[in-house]
Amino acid sequence: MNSKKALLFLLFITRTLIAASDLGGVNGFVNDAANGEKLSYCNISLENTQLGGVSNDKGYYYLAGLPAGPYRLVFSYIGYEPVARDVVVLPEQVITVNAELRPTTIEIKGVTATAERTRFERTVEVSHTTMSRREIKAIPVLFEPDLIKSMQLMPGVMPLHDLSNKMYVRGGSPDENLVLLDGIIVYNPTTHLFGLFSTFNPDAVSEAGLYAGGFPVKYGDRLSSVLDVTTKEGNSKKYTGEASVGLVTSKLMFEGPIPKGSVLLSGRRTYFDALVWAYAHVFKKDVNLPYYFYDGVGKVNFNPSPENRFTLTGFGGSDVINLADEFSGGTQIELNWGNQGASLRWRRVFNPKLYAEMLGVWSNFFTHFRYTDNTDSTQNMHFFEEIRSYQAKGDFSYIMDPRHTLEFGLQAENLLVAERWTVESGDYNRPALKSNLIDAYIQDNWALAPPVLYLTPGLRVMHYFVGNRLRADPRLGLKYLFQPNSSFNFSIGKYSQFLVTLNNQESFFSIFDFWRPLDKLHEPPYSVHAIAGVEQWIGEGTRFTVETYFKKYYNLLIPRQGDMFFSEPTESLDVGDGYAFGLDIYLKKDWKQYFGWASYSLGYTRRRVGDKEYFPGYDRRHNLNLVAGVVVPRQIPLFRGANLSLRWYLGSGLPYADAVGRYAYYYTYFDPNEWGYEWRVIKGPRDAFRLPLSHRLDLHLEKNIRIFGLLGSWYLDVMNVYARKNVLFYQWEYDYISEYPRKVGYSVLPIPIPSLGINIRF
Amino acid sequence: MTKKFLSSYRGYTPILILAVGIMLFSACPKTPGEDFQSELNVFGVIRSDRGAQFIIVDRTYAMDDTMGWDLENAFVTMTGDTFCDTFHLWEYEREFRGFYHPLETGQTYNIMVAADGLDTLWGETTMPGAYAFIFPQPGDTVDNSDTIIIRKSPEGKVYEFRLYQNDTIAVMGMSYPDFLTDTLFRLPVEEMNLPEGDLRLEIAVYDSNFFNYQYQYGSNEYPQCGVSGGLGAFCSAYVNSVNFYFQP
Repeated sequence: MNSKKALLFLLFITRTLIAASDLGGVNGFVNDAANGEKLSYCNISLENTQLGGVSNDKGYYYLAGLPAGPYRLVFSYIGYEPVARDVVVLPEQVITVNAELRPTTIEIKGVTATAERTRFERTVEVSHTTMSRREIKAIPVLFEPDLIKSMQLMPGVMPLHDLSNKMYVRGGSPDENLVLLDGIIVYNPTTHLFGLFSTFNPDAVSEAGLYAGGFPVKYGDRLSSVLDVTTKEGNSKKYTGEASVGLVTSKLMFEGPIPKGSVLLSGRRTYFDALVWAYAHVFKKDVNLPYYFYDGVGKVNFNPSPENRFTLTGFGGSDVINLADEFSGGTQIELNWGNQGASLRWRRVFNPKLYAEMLGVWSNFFTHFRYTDNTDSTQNMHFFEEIRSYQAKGDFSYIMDPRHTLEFGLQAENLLVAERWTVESGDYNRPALKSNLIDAYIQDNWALAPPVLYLTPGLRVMHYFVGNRLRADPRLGLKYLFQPNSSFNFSIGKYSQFLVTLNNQESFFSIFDFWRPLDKLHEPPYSVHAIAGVEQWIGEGTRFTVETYFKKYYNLLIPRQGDMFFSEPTESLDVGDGYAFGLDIYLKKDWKQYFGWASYSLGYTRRRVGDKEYFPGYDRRHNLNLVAGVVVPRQIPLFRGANLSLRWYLGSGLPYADAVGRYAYYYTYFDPNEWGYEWRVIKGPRDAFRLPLSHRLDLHLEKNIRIFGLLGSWYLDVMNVYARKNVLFYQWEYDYISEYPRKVGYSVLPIPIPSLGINIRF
Repeated sequence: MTKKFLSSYRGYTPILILAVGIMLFSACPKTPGEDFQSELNVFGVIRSDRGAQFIIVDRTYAMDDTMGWDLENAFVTMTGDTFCDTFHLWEYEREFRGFYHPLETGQTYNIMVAADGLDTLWGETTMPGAYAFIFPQPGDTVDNSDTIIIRKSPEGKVYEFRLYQNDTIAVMGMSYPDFLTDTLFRLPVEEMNLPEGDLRLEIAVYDSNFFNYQYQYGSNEYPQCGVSGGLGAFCSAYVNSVNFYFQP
C-alpha cells in the first residue's frame, strides 16, 4: 500500500473514532458563472487534507462526515478558474456553499480534472461514454450535425451503412436501445428526412451519454443500451443566441434569464421547399418540393428557492409531405409523422443527504396519412397511428454515510398504441393496445475500500400488467483501482424489455419502428450482460479502455424472415434467442482545443429461431473509427486558425445472402401455347457471404469570423473525401443475349458529398 | 507519461500480440464451402383443350456456369389412368412434347423427368373439376348491362379469360384468383370493353399448383409447385368456351 493510501486509511480510521456529534458537512451546487449551466462531476477538495468529493450529474455535491473546524473549499474543473471558499464546519450542521466557476482559456496549473477523469475516480460506470455538444458539432457530417451519427463513432456502436442513422450496439438491434431526451422516451429518434437525420437538434444538446451495456438499475425496459441526452439548461446570466444556415436546414437558438430561472428555445426547419416555391413564383416555373421537416425544443427553469427547482421541457418535430399541387383535379395526399413530448421535473433537496428528482413525462410518436379527393368525397381517407406514453418517476439519492449512497426510485408508465382509419362510411378503430408498467429500483453506491474498491449492487423490480408478469433484474457493478490511473471494471446484470417492434430491424432503410406492447402470449424478452474491462488514464487528458462483453438473449421476438417490412400482429413474431460477445477498445485524447479518439470494436452476434442459427444482417465483425480535431497551423494562410476535424472509418463486411445459382422462371403468354421466362437467382444461406470492407474519410473545417460585428463561423464538410464506393448490396443483372449474369454492387454514397453553412452567435 | 504506461505493459506484449492475432484470425468471415448442386427445373401446364401436351425441361445453373441448356437427352414421361407417354424434344430447346391423349376432370396425372447427373424429378397434378356457364348460353346476345356468370369449379383456384373474335384474341386475357367463397363467379360485361360481333369466351380454370406458382412466389424464393426432386411447376387446367353475340 503506498503512502497516499495509508494516509487515507488512517484518516478513515480516525474519522470513525471521532464522535458523531463532532462531525458536520458541506453541500451545494456548482455552476458555470458565464451561463449558469450545471457543472457535472466537478472536483471539490478541502485544501491541505485528503478530504473531498465530486458533484453529481446535476451539479449537486454533499461532503459528509467532516470533522468540525475551518477549511478552505476548492472547486476545480478543467477549463475553469478554480474557486476557493473559506468555511467553518460546525458539529452536527451542514453548511451550504454554492459555487460558480468562470470559464478560462488559460491553462491553470494543477487543474486537470475533467468530468470524465472525475467519473473514473469516483463512480462505477462500465461501457459508458459521453459526447459533448462541442464534439458533436465538430464531427464531419452529411449536411447537418447529428447526434446519433456522432454516437456511431463510439466503441461498440455500429451503423449499417454510410447513411444509416441507426445504432446497433454490441450485437443489439436499434429497438433494444432506450433513447431519452431530458427523461422523455423518444420512440423513434431517427425519423427526419426518411431516417437520415435524428430528431435531436444539436444546438440544444448539452451532453449525450451512452451506456453500451451494463447500465445502472435506474434505467430499464430495454435489452442493450441507453442513450441519455441532456439539453442545455438555458443561460441564466445573459441573453444569448445562435443562428445558422446550412444546406438543408436553418436553425435558431435563444437562451436567457427569467426571474429566478432561465429559458431556452431552439428550432430548425428545412427550407428547400420555400426556396423552390419562391423560385417557381419569381420565374413562373412549374416546380414544387412538397417536403419539409421541422423540430424544436423549449425549456424553462424556475428556482423558487435553493432547494427547489422546476424544469419544464417540451420538444416536438415532424416530417411533412404534402402532394396537394402534384395532382390535377383537386386530389391531395398528405403524410406526416413525428415525435413530441414534454416533461416537468421537480428537483428537490429535502435535506443535504436526500436529493430527489420527480418527473412527469408525456411522450408521443404519430403518423398521419390523409387522402382528399375534392371532386369525390367518398374517396377521402385518413389513417392515424400513434404510440403514446405517460410516465411518473421519482429518483432519489440518499447519502447514508461517506461510504454508502443509496439511489432508489419508482416509476409508473401507461402506454397506448392506437390505430384509426377514417373513410366515408365511418371510423374503423383497431382496439387500442394498452399496457401498464410499474418499476422500482434500488442501488447502493458502496465505497467498499475507497479509493480502491467500489461496488454498486442493485435491483430493479418490474410489474407488467399485461399477463400480470413480475420480473426482477439484479445488477452488480465493480470498480477496482489497482493503480491510481488504472482500474478494473466489471458488471453483470439482467435486462428485461416489455416493448417489441414489428418491423424488420435488419432493413437498410426504415423511417420509424412499429412499436407494440408485449402481448399475453409471449414471455418478456430479456438479456444478461457480463462485462469486464480495464480503464487506464495516461496523463490527465487521455483515456484508454479495453472491455470484453458477453450478452445472452432470451425470448427474443423477431419478425419472420421473408416478412420484408413488418409482421402483424405480435402473435406472428418468431420467438428466438441469441448471444453476442466481443471486445471494445477506446482511446480518447482531450487537450485544450485539440481532441481525438480511436475506437475499435470486435463483435460476434448470433441469433437462433427454431433450429436455425445465423448471423443477423448487422453482425459486423470489425469496426474502427479514428477521429482527430486540430487547429490549422499558421503556415496555411487561408485556413489559419480554423478547426479541422477528420474522421476515418473502417468496417468489415456485413453478412448477406448471395446468389449461389440461377434458374429460369417460366410462364405462358396470352396464347397458352407460347411460353417465355425470366432469370431468377437462388440465394445461399442468409449469412454465408460477407460484403467487402467499407472505409471512408470525412472532414469538417470550421473557421471563426465576424459577420456584421457578430462572432460567427463558417463550416465546410465533405463526406467520403476519396469517393469510396462501399457496397451495400448486390444485384445480378443479365445480359439477355449471352444469358450470363453479372454481379453489380450498389453504394449509397458513391461520391464525395460537400456541405457548408454559417453560424452566428449573438 | 506515455513511456511509463508502455513500459508498465511491456511484459504483456507477447501475450497481447498473440491474443490480437488469434482474435483477428478467428474473426475472418466464413465463406461457403459447399458446391452448388444443379437440379431439374420444369414447367408444364396440361390443358384439357390441347391436342398434344408439352413440358419445359430445364435445370438450375451455378452463377458461373457457362454451359447453357444441355438436356437434349432428358427422359420425360407423363402418365394418366389410361396412358403412359414418353415425350420428345420438340423443335425448340427445352420443349418436350407428347402425343394426344384426352384429359379428364378430376383425374390425376404424373410426370417423371430424368437426366444424366441430376436427381429425378416427379410431378403430380389433378385436373380441376368442370365449371358451367350460367350466362351466356351458346347463341345468346349480350350487352353491356349483362353479367357473365359461371358456376365455379370445385377445385379451381384461378380463372383465366380469353375472348376471341375470328379465332384471334380480340380483347383481353386476364386471370382472377379464386378468392371468393360464392359458388358463382360474376364478371360484368361493361368492364370488359368488348367489340361488337360474334365472340367466343374461353375460360381456363387452373389447379392450386398453378395458383401457388403464379401468386405465391416472389423473386426471392424458388418454387416447387406440384413437383419434387427439383423445382418448377406441374399444373393442369380445364378449359371450356361459349359463343355469343355482343351488342353494345
